[in-house]
Amino acid sequence: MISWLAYYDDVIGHMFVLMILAFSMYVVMRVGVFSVASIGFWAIAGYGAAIADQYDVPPLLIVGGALLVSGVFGLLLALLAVRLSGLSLTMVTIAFVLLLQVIVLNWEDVTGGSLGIFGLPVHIGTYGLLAVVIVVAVLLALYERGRTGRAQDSLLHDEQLAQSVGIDIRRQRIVALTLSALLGGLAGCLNVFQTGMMVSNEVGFHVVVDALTMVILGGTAAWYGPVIGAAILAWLPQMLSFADEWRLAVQGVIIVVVLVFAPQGAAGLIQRLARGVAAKRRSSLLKRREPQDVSA
Amino acid sequence: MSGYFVDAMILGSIYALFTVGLSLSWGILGVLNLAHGSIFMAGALSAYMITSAGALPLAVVLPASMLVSGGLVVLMELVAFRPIRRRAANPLAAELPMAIASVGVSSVLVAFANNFTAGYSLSLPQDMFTVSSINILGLTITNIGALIVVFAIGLTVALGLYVARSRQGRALKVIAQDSYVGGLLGISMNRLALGTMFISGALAGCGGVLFSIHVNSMHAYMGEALLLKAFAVIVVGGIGSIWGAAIGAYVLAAAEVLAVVSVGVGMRDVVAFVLIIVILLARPQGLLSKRKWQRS
Amino acid sequence: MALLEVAELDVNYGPLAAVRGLSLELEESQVAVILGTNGAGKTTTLNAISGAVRARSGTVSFDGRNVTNSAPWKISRSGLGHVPEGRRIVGPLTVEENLLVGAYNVRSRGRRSELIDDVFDTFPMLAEKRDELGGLLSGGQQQMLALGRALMAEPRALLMDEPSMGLAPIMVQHVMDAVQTIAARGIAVLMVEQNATAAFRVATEVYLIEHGEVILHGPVDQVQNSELVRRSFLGI
Ligand SMILES: Nc1ncnc2c1ncn2[C@@H]1O[C@H](COP(=O)(O)OP(=O)(O)OP(=O)(O)O)[C@@H](O)[C@H]1O
Ligand SMILES: [Mg+2]
Repeated sequence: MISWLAYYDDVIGHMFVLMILAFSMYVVMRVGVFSVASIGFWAIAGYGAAIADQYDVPPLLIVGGALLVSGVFGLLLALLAVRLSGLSLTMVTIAFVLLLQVIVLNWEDVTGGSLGIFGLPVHIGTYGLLAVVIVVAVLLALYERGRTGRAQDSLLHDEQLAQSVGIDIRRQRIVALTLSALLGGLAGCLNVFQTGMMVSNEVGFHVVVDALTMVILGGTAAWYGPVIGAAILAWLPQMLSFADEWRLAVQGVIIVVVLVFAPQGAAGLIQRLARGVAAKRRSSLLKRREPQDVSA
Repeated sequence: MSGYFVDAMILGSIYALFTVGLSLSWGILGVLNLAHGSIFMAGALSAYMITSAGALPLAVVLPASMLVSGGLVVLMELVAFRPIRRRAANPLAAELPMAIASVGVSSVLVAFANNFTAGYSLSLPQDMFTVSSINILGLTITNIGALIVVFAIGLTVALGLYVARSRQGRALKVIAQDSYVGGLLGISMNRLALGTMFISGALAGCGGVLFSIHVNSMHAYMGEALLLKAFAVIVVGGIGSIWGAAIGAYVLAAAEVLAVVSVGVGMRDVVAFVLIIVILLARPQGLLSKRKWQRS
Repeated sequence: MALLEVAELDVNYGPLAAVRGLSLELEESQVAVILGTNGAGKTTTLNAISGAVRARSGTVSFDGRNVTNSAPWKISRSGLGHVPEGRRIVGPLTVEENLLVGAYNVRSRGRRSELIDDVFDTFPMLAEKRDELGGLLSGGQQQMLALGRALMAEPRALLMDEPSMGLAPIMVQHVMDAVQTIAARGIAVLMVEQNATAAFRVATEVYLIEHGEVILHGPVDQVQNSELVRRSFLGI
């Protein structure tokens, strides 16, 4: 067990980083928005952290800076994006990521171009990452139980209904988009701290596909959806080791198949199962009480 | 000076071939096809595969590649978009899953291309089409450049007239506005969707083949950068408008050439993003779109 | 056998049963009206008949063929038109284009223009507005356009969902006259209405539905004296 953990330490650590990225996608998906801005903030914070690291800035300061920058830019993007509906909003977030990609590849002096930035110190281990994931998951679970969380649930199911009962969709979306930016930035920063490098691939198409695989496969029904999605994605290369060059294709197929056949993802299936069990228990309780009613 | 004009015309024509279909499927069917860049690439790739099987002239290869790329989008419609649309509670609810599914398909296509090309750039064989310089109205342009312009303008105008005049064109406008009423009037959305998707893919494929001859190279990610440009074109022209997309394409190309000439090459890809942000801030419904048919 | 037969129709929206065991018949050239309060399931019934919402069980047959849960466009092509609630005119198309769209499955250009002339004869009000955008017409004009658009498909029967909704009394009269004209051509009409007084002038059969069930059914002259109808719909 111990040796197994040591052997797969990198995979497990990366899984935790992915979980935070998945949370970042999840919070916006829950308010009925398809945004890939998370990947943008993942990239901005990642490069920011890598560059600051080269100048030996203390890691905590780097995290603080990454959160600050992501938060501010996230809020700005959110303020622009909520004026738009549905697909237009998606389009803006994709344009944002595509622009970052161009900047990263062309601004070689700072970003290292297509090679990226290498050989940075590793600042966080698997247990540290686990701690961060737990803190974030607990905060999200609490947030979901709270007022705003419930508002988002109804919003997700029926936008018009939400509006008619006085839920301010714009505000909800601004909050969600900003929160998503913060989480995306945190994940990007931790990614660099864990791997000690930042490469231009991390701004590319495959991160978008990774992020979507996690959040679609896991589902957005509850906070454990992205956890499941990230866990599966992290182990996918191990499972597919014979065909790594086909990994993108496998993920693409997963996305389409899940969307068509199980749009609620793993979390949705779990919830349905749980509800089924609860309903069965309730109905069996009712049945048991029936004779008493008759005798009464 | 006239060199810049020729550059802008060719660039704008590529943008037009790429964007018209993207805008059409978005505006009419609510499908933001994020695999459109991969379809553009698939056109070029299938041209390469066809010519590697045997020496054939462009007059054969181009239609065949358009058939392949159009067919691919039809396949997407059948395996992903249609099932998602059928399951959705209302047309709006299908939009986000369809867009996400298109990323999945794109992922499959990119993985295939990456494996086929082993990550390198390829060039189409010279004997399929020999590039040379010609003179038209005092302008020096390559024959492939001229072909691109002719195809872009010819196909766009033909499609624009068809949609404006034909029975199917009117039906498309009904579907775009209100698919429920379309059904009650005897219009089969599924059939029209197949046609729209095929045209959208074929135009992109045409652009992909001609573009890869023009720049003498093709690779797995060649379509990705175009997506950002297409978004800017759509924002200028209005979602779903063929004429708008055509005008927007040349406007963007002219702006880009102007930016390169006056500021520098680095500015080229920023223009599109700035255009998107500025126009969306000022007029979220698009620059050229009008709403004069609504009663206040 | 009646032209349109609906038997034991059930429609659910999730857990909500909107239509329950509903049966009705529409004879050739007959005008029937469905009365019911808001949320009774009238629109749902019409939508289920024309295939726009799925029936959970029950059958719909038109012209002797089972069309239950067929695609709306197929049902429309088989000769059953549907003038939807709220008219749903296509705003950015002109009046003429809106009419042409109604004849989507009429392949001959010549036949389409004959049909258009015919509609303009029937509704002269539309002829004047020929080139105006549909979205700019008044409510009454839009209702006429919606009726004209449905006629363009040369239907054998028409479903109409609250054609008088939101119209001034004089317009209600025009619309009911139009319904009468349509019926006089031998087109059977199944009309949903809340304005019973207006509907009774043209209809011969009445179905009263509540909570998705038919609670009363019969010829107009008998039903209009029933306590239920007088109290709820005639305001007497
Ligand atoms: N798309 C839908 N999803 C969920 N419930 C619906 C939907 N459409 C209608 N309902 C519900 O089904 C019931 C019947 O609705 P329906 O529209 O058929 O009533 P109606 O008789 O046409 O009412 P009105 O006179 O207001 O038009 C109502 O309780 C309504 O809330
Ligand atoms: Mg109704």
